[in-house]
Amino acid sequence: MIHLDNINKSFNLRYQRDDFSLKEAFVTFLRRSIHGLKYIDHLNPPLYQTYDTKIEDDRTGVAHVLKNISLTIEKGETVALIGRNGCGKSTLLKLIAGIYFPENGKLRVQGRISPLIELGAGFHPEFSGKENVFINGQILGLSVAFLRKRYDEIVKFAGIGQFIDLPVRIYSSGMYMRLAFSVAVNVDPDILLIDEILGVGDADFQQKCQRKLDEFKHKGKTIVLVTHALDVVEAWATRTIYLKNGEIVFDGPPAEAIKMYQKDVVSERQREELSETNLPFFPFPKLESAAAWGETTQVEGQTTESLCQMLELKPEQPGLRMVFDLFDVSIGEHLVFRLLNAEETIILFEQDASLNDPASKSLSGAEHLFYHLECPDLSNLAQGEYHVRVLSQAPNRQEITLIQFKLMIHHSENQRGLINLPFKIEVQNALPA
Amino acid sequence: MPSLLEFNRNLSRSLYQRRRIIWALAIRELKVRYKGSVLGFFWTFMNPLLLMVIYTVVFTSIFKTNIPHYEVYVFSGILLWNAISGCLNDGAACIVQNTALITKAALPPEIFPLRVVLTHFLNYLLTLPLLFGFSLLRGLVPTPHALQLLYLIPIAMLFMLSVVLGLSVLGAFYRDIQYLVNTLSFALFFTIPVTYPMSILPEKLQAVLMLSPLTQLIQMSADAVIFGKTINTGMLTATLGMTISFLVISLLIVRKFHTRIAERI
Repeated sequence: MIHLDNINKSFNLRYQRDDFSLKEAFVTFLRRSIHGLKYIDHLNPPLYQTYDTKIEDDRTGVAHVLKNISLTIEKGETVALIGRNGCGKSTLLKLIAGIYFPENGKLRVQGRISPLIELGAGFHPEFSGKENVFINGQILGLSVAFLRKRYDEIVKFAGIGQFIDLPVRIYSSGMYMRLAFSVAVNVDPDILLIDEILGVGDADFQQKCQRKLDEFKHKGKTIVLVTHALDVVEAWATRTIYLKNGEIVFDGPPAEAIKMYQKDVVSERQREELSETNLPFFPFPKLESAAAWGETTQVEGQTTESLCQMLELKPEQPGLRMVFDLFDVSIGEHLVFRLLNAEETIILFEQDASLNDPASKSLSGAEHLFYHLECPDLSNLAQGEYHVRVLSQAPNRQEITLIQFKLMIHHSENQRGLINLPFKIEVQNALPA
Repeated sequence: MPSLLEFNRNLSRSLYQRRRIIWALAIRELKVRYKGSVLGFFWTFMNPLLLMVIYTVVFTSIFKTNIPHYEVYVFSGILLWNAISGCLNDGAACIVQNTALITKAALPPEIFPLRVVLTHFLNYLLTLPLLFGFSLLRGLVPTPHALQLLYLIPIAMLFMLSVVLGLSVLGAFYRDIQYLVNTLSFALFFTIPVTYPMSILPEKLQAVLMLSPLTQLIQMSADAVIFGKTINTGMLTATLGMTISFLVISLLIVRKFHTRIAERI
């Protein structure tokens, strides 16, 4: 059982700077004792920033990596930790492993732990695979007698043949990792801590690994896993903890955690994309949140100024109509209508039209060309959230978004999935004819 | 914070639980030193042998020293000094050098000082047969007093461990400690009676230098191996007293810093 109660962890990054030395420590010590003040280096403030943790106190260079973490993992659970790089997953794992010590709060771990954080950490390049199997096995807590008994099996599992008698410095990285993994799977702890070590070797080897890990799970071992392989999380974990900026934002079923995580990743990416693009059409004014079809459909999003002349929602059934005024055709060759899922990972529907086709050429005398887009029936979409984008695409596939918005579709309560089919369920007391 | 006694008990338990891996790492370290070199273990002898020849030539022909079996004395001193300076130099660097084992394989940093002391004294033990062989060759038959090494070596190891324990942690926090120790150990070499016997110094200087536990260790080992004397109990007590003092200092350092070692290396 693993029990964490209000755990905090921060790192003082000042010590990690290149110029940190005995001299600086001495000067700091002197200044502190003379002035009774905390020494702050104003000349060289540290500039450390990980992907999504911003150092809160820039002046002291302290990074709060974990904040008020409380959680209990019972025996036999398979828990996955997910989150973006720098969110504190690995730090949490290292706290449980006893490598790091928490600043405050209570941490209690019952049972023998095997941390598989980096495989082959104990490998020495000058030694042969065989010698390394023994030393690395011992580092993992296995006895020499046990290793001798399992030696042939380990070598066979790694599948590196006669290379076993050669120094590991000549191994390919795949061979190195496979050998390390083959030793590691022989551990027999109560708690297994795994950090990003899955995904070693080829497909065949991965399958072997997966089987070994399933074995651990069926033996009722407690497993805590840090990974970015969301399919593994979904298929394998019984519980998923989503960490964001050092805090637990979700703790529960894997499917929900993954959904939440993906949504966050997508929205962050969009924010980045929006801020990165420097097109003259920006800024997007926000569309008025529109509701139509009674209370069934909502639209909210952004559009480039003055291009979208009209966005109309059909009142009778879910449907859309848009009108664009593209007097400057050179912005693109194609107008693309694209319907995506809410996470913007799947294109559900896309249709494009050439902006230079003869039909529009014949109207070339006109000053303005209006493009009408109509999608009269959206009732085949399942209930849920969608993303609509209309963009102008240049021949080099460069895209300029003209409008994007969120589309909410509501149907009956019990429906899930991607599409809406005519469906009926009835209860009768006789067999249907 | 736990009391020092309690901390000492926890530390000892942690070391005892991991005795096998410490031993395995010490042996590996010993193998690493001579791996890939043709003459292998031979190099262990070469360095002290060469130094011994140089010092003997310099001291007997230039300074006209008339000490009997001077070459055996120098050889014995250099062998022990190599173990001591090896402990100091490796000790300051041992935690930093094993970052991967500490932060990835979750080995506690406290095991590495012990590994360092073990490696260097195992190496010393392996060179002892050569010392006695050389001594016989020069017509100096070891007396039963040489058996005093049986407890002298463990005491020397204990003393080195008490120093290296604190040194390794300081070395992990401040990289300059390594360079400092390297330089200091070179200077230290001349303050202890390795190349000269204590007796050639003026008495006042002798008294000052004898305060150093390293001088005491070299002196005691020379008494046992070369001079065939019973080890002075007063000197032995002094060494043990110093060991305990250093152990207390080291434990204070380790207790203060050990929770932050992994994040600082």
